[in-house]
Parts: sequence; C-alpha cells; structure tokens
Amino acid sequence: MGKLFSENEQQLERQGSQRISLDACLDRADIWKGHRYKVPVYKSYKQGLKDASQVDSSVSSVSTGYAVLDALLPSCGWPASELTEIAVPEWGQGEIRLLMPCLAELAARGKRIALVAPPMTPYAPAMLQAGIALEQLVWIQTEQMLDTLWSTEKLLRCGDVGAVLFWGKLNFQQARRLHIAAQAGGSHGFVFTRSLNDQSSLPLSIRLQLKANQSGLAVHFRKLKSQCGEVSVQLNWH
Amino acid sequence: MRRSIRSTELALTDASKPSRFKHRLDHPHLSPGITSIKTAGLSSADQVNPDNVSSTQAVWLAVYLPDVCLAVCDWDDIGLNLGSDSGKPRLVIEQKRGQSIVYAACEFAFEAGITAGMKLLSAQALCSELQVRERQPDKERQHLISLAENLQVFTPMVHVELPDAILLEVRDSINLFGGLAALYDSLQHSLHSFLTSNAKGQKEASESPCFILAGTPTPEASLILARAGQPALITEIAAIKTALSSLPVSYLPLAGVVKNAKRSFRQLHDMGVDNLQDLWRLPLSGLKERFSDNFITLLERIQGKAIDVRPAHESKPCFSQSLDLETETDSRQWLSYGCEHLLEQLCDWLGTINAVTSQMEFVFLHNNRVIERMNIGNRQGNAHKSQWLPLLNLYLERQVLVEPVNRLQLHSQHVYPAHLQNLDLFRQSSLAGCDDWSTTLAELSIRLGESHLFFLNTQADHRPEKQLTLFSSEDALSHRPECPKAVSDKSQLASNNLIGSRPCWLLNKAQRLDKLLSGWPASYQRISGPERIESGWWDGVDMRRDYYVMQDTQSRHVWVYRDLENQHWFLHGLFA
Repeated sequence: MGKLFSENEQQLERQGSQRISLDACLDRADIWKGHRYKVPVYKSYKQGLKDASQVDSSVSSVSTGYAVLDALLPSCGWPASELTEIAVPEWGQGEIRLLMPCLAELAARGKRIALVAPPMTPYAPAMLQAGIALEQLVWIQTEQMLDTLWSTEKLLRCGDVGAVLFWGKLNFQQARRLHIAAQAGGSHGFVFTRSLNDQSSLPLSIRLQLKANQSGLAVHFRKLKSQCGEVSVQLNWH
Repeated sequence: MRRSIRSTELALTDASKPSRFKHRLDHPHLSPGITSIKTAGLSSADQVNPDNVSSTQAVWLAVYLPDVCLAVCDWDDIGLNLGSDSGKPRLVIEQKRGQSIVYAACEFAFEAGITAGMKLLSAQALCSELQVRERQPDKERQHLISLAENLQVFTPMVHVELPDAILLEVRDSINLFGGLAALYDSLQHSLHSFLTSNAKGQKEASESPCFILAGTPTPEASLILARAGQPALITEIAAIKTALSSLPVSYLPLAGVVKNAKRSFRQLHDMGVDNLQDLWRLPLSGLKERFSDNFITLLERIQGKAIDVRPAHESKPCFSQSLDLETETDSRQWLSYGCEHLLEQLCDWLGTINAVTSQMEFVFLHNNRVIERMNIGNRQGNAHKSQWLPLLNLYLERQVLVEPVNRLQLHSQHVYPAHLQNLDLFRQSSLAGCDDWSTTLAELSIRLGESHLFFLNTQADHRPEKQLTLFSSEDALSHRPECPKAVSDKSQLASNNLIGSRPCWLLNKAQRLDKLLSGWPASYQRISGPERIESGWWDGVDMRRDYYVMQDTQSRHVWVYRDLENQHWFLHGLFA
C-alpha cells in the first residue's frame, strides 16, 4: 500500500508541475461529461478553443493528436462510428502521419488496426516508431474493389477493430452501407481517395483534402458535420 | 527376422560390449501358446501357473518395440526383397555433441559389425553401402501412440513409455478374456497384425515384426525384462527377483533416476556387481550409503515395494460422420442442407462432451471417390452451430464442384476441452452482438485466401528491405519471442527529428531518380541526412547507401538514397 501511495503522489507531483488547467482537463476527449448535450459548434477554431458546453459529448472519439484539429472537430477528435474521407492529389502527402497519433492511441487501447488494399507496402519500423504495436496491425491485400469493400465492412463491424484504413472511391450506397457497419462496430473508418473536387454528395460526416506544403500540411475541410462552410487549417511538422 | 540394436544411455556406458544389447532370438510370437513361455531364469520348481493369478495382484505387460525408430523412417528399397542380401543395410543416426552417432542398426548392418553408439564415419568405413536416416522422435511417438490407442481394447490403463515401449495393466481384463493365457495370446495376435499392417511394405509378408512382450506384477520389472529381450510372464511378486537375477546391471534404467548414470554403472562394476543377482545380495542399507535415494526407490519399484504410478494414455477425441445423399447432386442448396445436418451432429456431440473444435473438414465423395475437400478453421475454438454456419456458407458460395456427389463426410480431429472465457462486462461489442476478431479473421481468410492477410513484424537487420517481415498467421507472430515493442515514450514521438525515422510506405522497388543537378536530385530539397546504411557483405546482398529525407516538388517528404557503389539516386519510401 505504501508503495502505491508514493507512486500516486509522484504522479500528482508530475501533473502539478505540468499545471494542467481545469478547462484543459475538461476539454480532453476521454473525460466523460454526462450532463452535456449536443450543442452545435458555430465558432471556427480561429475564435479560440471551444468551451466545454460546445463539446459534442454524445460522440465518442479519439484525439487527433493536434490541438488545432481537436479544437475544430465537434467531437474533439476523430469521431468513432463514422466514416472520414481523406482526399489527396498524390499518395504521400502526410495522410498517414495525420492519423498516426489516433492509431497509436487505439492500438494502446488494445484495438486492432486494419489496412485494406493500401497502395504501397506498409513499413513496419515506421509503425513501431509511431507507437503502434505491430501485433495490433493487420494488412489485407485485395485484388478487386468488391473484396475491398466486403473486407472493410466485415472489419468495421468487428467490435475488436479500432480503425479501418482503406483505399478506394465510394459511391453513395457503398458509403452509406459502410457507415452503418462502422456504427454497428463502433470503429473509425478512414477512406483514402485521390479524387479531388469530387462534387458528389456522400453520407460522410467529415471530408477533407490534404496538400503538403513547405512547412507542413494544409488540411482543408470540405465537409464537417455541424459546421457551416469550408475551413482550412495548417499543420506544421516542425 | 530382423533384429536391431538400440543405443540407449546404457549402451553408451558400456560400448565395449555391444553384444549385450542384442536381443534374444526366441520371440514370444514363435512360441505356440502360453504353455511354452519360459519364465526366464526360473527353475522348473519355481515356475508359476499363469492362470493362477490372485485378483489383487496387478499384472503389467510391457510391449517393447526395438526397431520402432527403423520402422518409422522411409527407406529407398521399400518393397524390394529384403530376404536376400541385396538390400542395403539401414542405419538410424542421431546428433550428439556435433557428431553423428549410430542410434540403431538393422540386422544386416549388425552383421557387418556396426553397433549402436558407433560414429557414423566408423560405420561407413565398415560398410560402404549404407542407407542412413536421421532419427525422427516425433514420428516414433506418433507410432507408439497409435499402437497404444489400438491396445486400449485390452485395458483402459495403457501407458506410453517413450521412446520405445508400451505398458498395459491388465488385471481387470483377465476374466473378460477368459484367463491370462487367452489375453496374452490375443494381445500377441493384435500386436502382430497392427505392426504388419503398419509396416508399409517395408518388410516381406513372411517376415514377422519384432516385438517383445513381458509381464510381471511391476511395470519396471516388465520393462527391464522386455528390453532385455526376455519374453517372460511372471505373476508372483516374489518371483521377480529370481527372474531378473541373471540380467546384467546395465539393464537398470538409471538414466532418468540418478544424476550421472555412467558413473553409477562404473561404481557398480567396481563393486563387483555385474548381474542383478549380485545386487539383490547386497543389503539395502549399504547401497543407500553409496547411491542416492532414487536408486533405492528404483530397486524397490522393481520389486513392488514402492508405489509406481503410471498415467494412462488418453486418446484424443475425434469426430467422423458421413451422410449418404439419396441422389447424386451438385446443387449448392442440397449440399448446404447436408453439410448443415452434419455440422449440427458435430455441434451436438461437442456439447455433450463439453468441448470445442478449431478445425473441421468436409469431404465430398462420389461412390467413395473423393471429389473435393473443404477445410474450415477458426483460430479460437468453437462449439456453436451459429458460429460455424456463416463460415460454412461462405465457403459453399465459392465452392464449385467438378462432379456431382452422393456422399458427404465430416471429420474433426482438433477437439479441445472447452474453457470458460472471460468476456469484458462493459465491452460494447459483446452487448451489440458484434463479431469477434477471430471470426472476422476466419471469414476474411476464407474469402480472400490466407495469402492475402499479413501481419507485420520487424527483424534485427539494418537493411531496410530485410527489416520488414510478413506473416500470414497471427499465431506465428505471437510466438516470436523477439517481437519488438512499440515506442511507448510519448516524448520520443513528439520529437520532430527526422534522422533515423522511417517512412510509412516503402516502394516495392526503389525508383531511380534520373534528373540530377550537380550530383544531387534536381528540385529535391534536403531536410535531414545522410544516414549511412552499410551492411550485408556476409550474405551476398551487400549494400552501401546514404539515406536522406527530402522534400520533393510536391512538398512531400520522401526517403531517398544514394547508392555509394555507383552514385545513383533512388526514391525508396514516402512519409505518407
């Protein structure tokens, strides 16, 4: 018992030294706030961080790992049970790095992460460096889009899977069906596509475009649930 | 008849006298009935009547198979007439301290002077035309287990004594078989037929398989008698000592009993103890001072003075059921009904024995000719029809039968006892009825094929291509002890230092960058590097490279290297 107390004290001391404010603590996505109701967010991140009343606590989420994105997203992180579309002009803009903190967090929680039909070989040392335990990771190689969709649906429905990353272009029915699967399994779905300026309407809560630039990554939200208009954010790698 | 010489720990202790371990020629199956069986070393006055067995006395029968290691190997001249001298002598070897030592030799080899414990080189010097095989302990064990399962018709108490014997305790079966003599005869007959049918044509039909059957009231004594090649049957405890007395002490199974068997044998030899008879004469208290307690316990076990418990072999349950269809059909619907019916029977059976299965095989036959086999597996064992049915249907959807069938079979050998599983009380998926991971994996591997599922791992190699290893099964990954742990220190993650960092995507084949500007890739901007990787001169995949992290024209972070051999630039990965 003595040891336990001393450890707790050390922990408290450490936290004290970092001086986490109560607001910042309440802003954390993993703090459960039972009495909050869904309040739409009208302010953009430029107007400052949301206060606690604007956090959509009805949606469970995982922090994106980037404060500006967490502030912008209604659920304070990548929402679970939803499908997120990430469009890039060419593979390699930084789309996986954007998701790495979220994937590492899910893997640490013991959830599986599935890559379905990635365009290139996923490189295990990079995953380790990002903090993803390799035993949580599965790579599924498919030959046809039909198999990709089928596997994605199966994986999204599986309760043990935290995130499914898949590559391909969806139509309305497919997106709807995968969304339902994600809702059933409570997992995160990320679809990567190269079709920019796609005007079709898809039942996805978040659609964003990425473009690498000199200092980092420009994230352009083309669609964000409960957000009017399009928003752009700049993430700096350095 | 084939005789073989086995190398045991004992043989090595006294390699100078190999003839000791040559088995006696008079095998029990040559004797017509029990009346001719001699209790070795007993005078006619001491002979016991085998049918006069007291009901409280245990009877342990030891079946010794001296050439089991020879029998399980595949030989070149299968089916050839070995009765003539044309057959090449056979040797089974094992590796000991980096040397190949003869473990067993066939009769022809023995006649050529090859004995167990000899080095392979010496054996080859004695006889040029040898067939040499490595010893296969797993196959030997399988052979013994299948024999033990066959012998379970005689008694439930069948014990497999590795590496070459089987023990049966038959006291309770004597009345059933109408006396010990009848039991002994039918056991011999059963052994004979099993060994002949399993010989895979390696021996002529006329040649009898080699086994030695000995029985005493204690298991140790039976084993010693059988291994000494003495087909005796002793039913009185008092007669054991006399029966064993003429045997040399090297037949004592000291290897697993005392720390240094070799030294103990030498000690016995120095004491002037050569036969067991000499040993019986010595007082136990004196022996106790010279040897360990285990040695005394062994002597007591042989004489039935100490308890000797042997676990009975338990055969693995397996399921096999077939279903005849009324007409020939290749209709998916009818086959699905049939398979479902068989599956239901399997699941009911699993329920009654409280077990689960992890794999099953459906066989489609037409007039006993196999048309198609279908293997369905789920890594986590299952006993519920509801769990197996989706997998079955998934398989049947893809199955195309080349011919109609009229018979279905279902086999399942991977049956394990069901253990209650701990499920997470708060886990959402278990409440919502979601599929679990193992079911999802099984479905994926059935639909896509095992070769489309990969689990990633790394191995300790500096060369980027060699660092990544792929496994198609999760078990292979988890059994690797050196599976590296992910970086848990968050501060390390937050650091923006790109030196030593690796890209998410690796190009299958590095792309040559042709456009160069004063020796550097044109329009690429260096961010970090160089990181020199120079390795692999020992296995022929030598590489000397300088790796850089660069920004390309689209501002993407890429992993580029310069091959130091030819100064060419290559694109190798993307920091996606």
